[in-house]
Amino acid sequence: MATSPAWRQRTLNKLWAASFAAALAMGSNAAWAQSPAPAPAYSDLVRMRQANPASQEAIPNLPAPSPVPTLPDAMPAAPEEEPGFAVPSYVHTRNKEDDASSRLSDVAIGIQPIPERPRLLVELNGLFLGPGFLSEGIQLPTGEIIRPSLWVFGTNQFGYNWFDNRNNIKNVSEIVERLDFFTQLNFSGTERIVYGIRPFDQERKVAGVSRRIYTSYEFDLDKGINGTNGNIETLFFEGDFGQIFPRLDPYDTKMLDYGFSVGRQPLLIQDGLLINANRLDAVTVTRNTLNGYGNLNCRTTGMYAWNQVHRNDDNLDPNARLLGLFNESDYKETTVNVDLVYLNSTPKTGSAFYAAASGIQRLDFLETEWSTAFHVLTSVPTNQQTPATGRGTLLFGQASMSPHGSPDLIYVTGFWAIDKFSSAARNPEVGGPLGQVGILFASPAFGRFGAPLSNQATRAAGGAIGYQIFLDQTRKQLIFEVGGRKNTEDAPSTGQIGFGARYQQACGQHFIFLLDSFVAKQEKFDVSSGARVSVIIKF
Amino acid sequence: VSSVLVCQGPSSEALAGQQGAAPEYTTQQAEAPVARHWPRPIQEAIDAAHAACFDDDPFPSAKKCQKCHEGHFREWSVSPHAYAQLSPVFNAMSNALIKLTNGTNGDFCIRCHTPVGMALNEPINISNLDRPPTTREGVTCTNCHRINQPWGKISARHHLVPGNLQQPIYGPRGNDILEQVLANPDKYGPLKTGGEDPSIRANPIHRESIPFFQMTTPAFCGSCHDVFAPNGFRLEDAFSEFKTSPAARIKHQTCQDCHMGLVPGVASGFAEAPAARVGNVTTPPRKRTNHMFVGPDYSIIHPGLYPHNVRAIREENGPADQGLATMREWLQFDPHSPWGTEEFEANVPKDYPFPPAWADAKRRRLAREILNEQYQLLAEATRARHQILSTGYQLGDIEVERASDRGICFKIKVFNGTDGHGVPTGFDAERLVILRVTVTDSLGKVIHESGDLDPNGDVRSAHSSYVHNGRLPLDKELFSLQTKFITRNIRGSEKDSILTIPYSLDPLPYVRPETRPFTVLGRPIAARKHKQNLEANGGQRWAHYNVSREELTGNGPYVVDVKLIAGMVPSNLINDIQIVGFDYGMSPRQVANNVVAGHLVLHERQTVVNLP
Repeated sequence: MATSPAWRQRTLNKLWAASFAAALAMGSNAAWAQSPAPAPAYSDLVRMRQANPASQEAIPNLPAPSPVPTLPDAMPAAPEEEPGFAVPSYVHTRNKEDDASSRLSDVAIGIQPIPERPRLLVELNGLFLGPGFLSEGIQLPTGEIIRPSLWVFGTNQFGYNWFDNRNNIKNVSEIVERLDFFTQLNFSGTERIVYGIRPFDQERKVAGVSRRIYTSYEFDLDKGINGTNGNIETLFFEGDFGQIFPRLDPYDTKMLDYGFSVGRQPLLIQDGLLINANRLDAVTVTRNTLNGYGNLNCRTTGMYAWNQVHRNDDNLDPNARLLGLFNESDYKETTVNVDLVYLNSTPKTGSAFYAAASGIQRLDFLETEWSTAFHVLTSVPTNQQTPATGRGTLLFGQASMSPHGSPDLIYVTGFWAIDKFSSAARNPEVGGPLGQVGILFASPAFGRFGAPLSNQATRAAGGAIGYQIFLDQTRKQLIFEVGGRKNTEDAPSTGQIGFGARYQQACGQHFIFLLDSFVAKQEKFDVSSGARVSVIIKF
Repeated sequence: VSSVLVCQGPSSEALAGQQGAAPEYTTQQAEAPVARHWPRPIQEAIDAAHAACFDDDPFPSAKKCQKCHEGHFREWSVSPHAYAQLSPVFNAMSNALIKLTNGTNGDFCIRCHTPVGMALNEPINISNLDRPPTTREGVTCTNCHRINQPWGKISARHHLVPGNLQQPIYGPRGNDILEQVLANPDKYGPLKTGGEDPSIRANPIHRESIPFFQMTTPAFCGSCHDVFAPNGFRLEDAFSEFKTSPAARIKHQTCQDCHMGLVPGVASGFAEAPAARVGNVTTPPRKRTNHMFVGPDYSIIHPGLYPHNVRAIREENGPADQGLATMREWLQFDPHSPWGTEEFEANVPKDYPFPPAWADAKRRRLAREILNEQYQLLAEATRARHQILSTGYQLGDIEVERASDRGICFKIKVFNGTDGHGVPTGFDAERLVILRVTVTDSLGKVIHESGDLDPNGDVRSAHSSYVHNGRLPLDKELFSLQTKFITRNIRGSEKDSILTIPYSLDPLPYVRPETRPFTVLGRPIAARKHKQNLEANGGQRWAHYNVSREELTGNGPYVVDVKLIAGMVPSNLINDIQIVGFDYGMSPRQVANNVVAGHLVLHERQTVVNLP
């Protein structure tokens, strides 16, 4: 048979190039993966034949390719790339060059390096998500198998705050330290004990009000503040009843999967609007994965808290007892949360019922998908209102979307506080219920740097609009936000407006650099401003 | 030299002697391919050490089990368990999550996909081409039959009992048949159970089959199929769904009843058949479970690499008589080419430019023979996959609600055909199950469609890069059962995400133990799932479609066609995880092509609409 020498030479060159690349690839995974696809593929042969019809005789008796459906490409070059395959009618065809940013790449980049697992401070008897041989378990008398492991981890934040409110009240200039330090004694996939301390900040009464005191140096006061302590912030056990007592249901026909927790534990309900407690002494029982009749997944939790209940006025109420029922259900379009709380306390601080409902969903609007959430919360004192217990309703909505062609995020939030809504429990450092409205409303929980705009939900309406820009994939972020609020009834100081900007950047595997700044104006007061810079270390 | 190099420890004795001690691989071994460039004596020492390592393998390869358990091996070889580690989509997703969580996701994903590899402390992101057989076999024999404790919901972080082939295995039944085999050397031939004179020629066999009750229970499956991350994220809860299902509570069925029985997806009883053939003699028949475990996943890789075939793969530096070609060589054999076919080989010119590995016509013919076997087995698995998926997903009839010159409205019901769990279940946030709907006029023009794919093979959801970039409109009528991953934004509610990385909240996403009780919310603060599947307790959903007046062409009657389609993963996942690259030198587009090629039409309904 006649053979085109030029074609043969090209083919041979290609083959040997591929072989050489493959041989090189033996040296490293990345090199292997970056090597071109091994030749000659059938499609290559066809392409060569198309490029050089004279060479057809060099490829004898080519049968039709296997009818493997593949994706089409409307480019003129597509038939060369994927010869002989019919374009399925259900697949849209587009111009390849125009759609370069949308189209999946044809280039194999090979297996890329990934970061090594950062070790925890302490990992005993088993790494945390680390490869390695796993030891045999210990069988408890109940039948459960456990493998106790000890893991120590946490977060440290160190930074400088500057806050000039120009109101002759108190300006802030301070260096602050905060350490959240946790130890977990892990028993199994469901059972564990978590112990947490914050050795550089603690809660104290200041002028009769509970405040978080951070270890810091106050330049404005020219003195150091010592917040060191050994208080237990977190200490709870959690587990799964069915896992602890497997012999009660050896055939898995009973629904004994009741999760529970007991001890000092944080709790966040309704995005922190209803309960935002860093520590509650409580017991909870949870039933998960319930479904049926359109309810796709329901979780329900009962809670009783008997200690460490901080009220809406920030104060610790030693007499308060909380009884809660928290439910979350997935439906097709929305996730519904319905939460009920009864708080019992002395007449001085007040008892109350709390109810909250929310719907979280994505809505199609303007050819894009909007993430939305709507909350309705109400607090109803059983007797008279107190500073800790208000009667009121809070309506809160939030939405966000990413513009076409961009990973950035635009968000908008709004609230309307009717009368005086109060949360069932919240710690002083997190401020009022409205921190979720925007970064201008949120307490950073770091030193004396407060929220630029008030986050109390008392007879007011307001909202925020923000834009989050992602750079360097998502490791550098810039957020701009404008927010404001206005009292809905006459009050000594009513309107507030502010502008904030935040830059945050991940550095390596452990560090975050954070820069926050704002300017704000409150009616009858001068413009205030502030900035903080800090470094967060995760370990 | 060898002491510098390799396999420090995965010997069965070493592991058995020190429970809890992690066998160490040296750096050199982790980067073993580098050694291929070393001088010949060093290379030979590496090979010898490597071979010794395999000879005393603490977790024997399924290929060793295959010698007696051919039937089990055949079923398993084409199972999703066997594909678990080979999957380039899985590996890329695991690596992407590790990258995006700054390394903190560790072995969370891969621990399930290659428990042996992780027990042997293998590097996470090496190519499967560089993994030894047992670890690339994914969920291999030892991953179930070397578990000796009822771990419960441990997300695959259970202890595997190390030991070579002759060490006891754990099974549902016990030792009675094995005792018969061992007691009858005249019938089954000489067997070695360990400790014999090495010079005696006999087939090695596990010396005992220890009954392990939990292996017969759903909880055994649940030890991997309820996947909870230590930060409280409930990635998969197939077992939890099962426990609340009528199948468990009322019928008292097990996972094994439907997934290891005669008919996939149906509690149809079990075969009665020999479990093994020892010395060419089959053992007495007994309850014989099916180990194919078909599910929604399917292979997108070279058919020489999967299904696992003892005739196909030769280990690099391994004996030449064990397997036809190395994995790298197989990747140079184009399965769609005519190589190895009689027609081609009879006419191929002598100077045809084959890769060196395939220059020999005999090898090419053997390769073709193996590939034909592979295609047969893959087709068998596809049929079984269709069987189980079409059982689980049911499609009602098209109901036309309105048809006039103002438009056509119709609906169709999709419902759960199983009462054992939701559909999809398990990794439901990446399972693509959609309705593809077309309305065609009498001239064949498609006037209305939904569930069609963009050029990447993606549905036109908000995750389609074509939709996101404004190149194609959003498919507002898309009916999908894919559960959504939801991540929290810094403000503005929670976002439907492809991966579970809450990067809006935190530029340095980290996986650490949740510091609040994760049972209370059933999830971490920053991420969760919004389930969209059809629940086991009578789950059903209507899909509604509206053809507007403007879309009508006047060329009636119109044909409405509805297909229920199941795919492994959506292309947008491939788009999101491509940053870390795919194994086997595959491009993202190749991966997407092959994923789309595996889409199955489970059910189809048609109706003709005449306008008055």
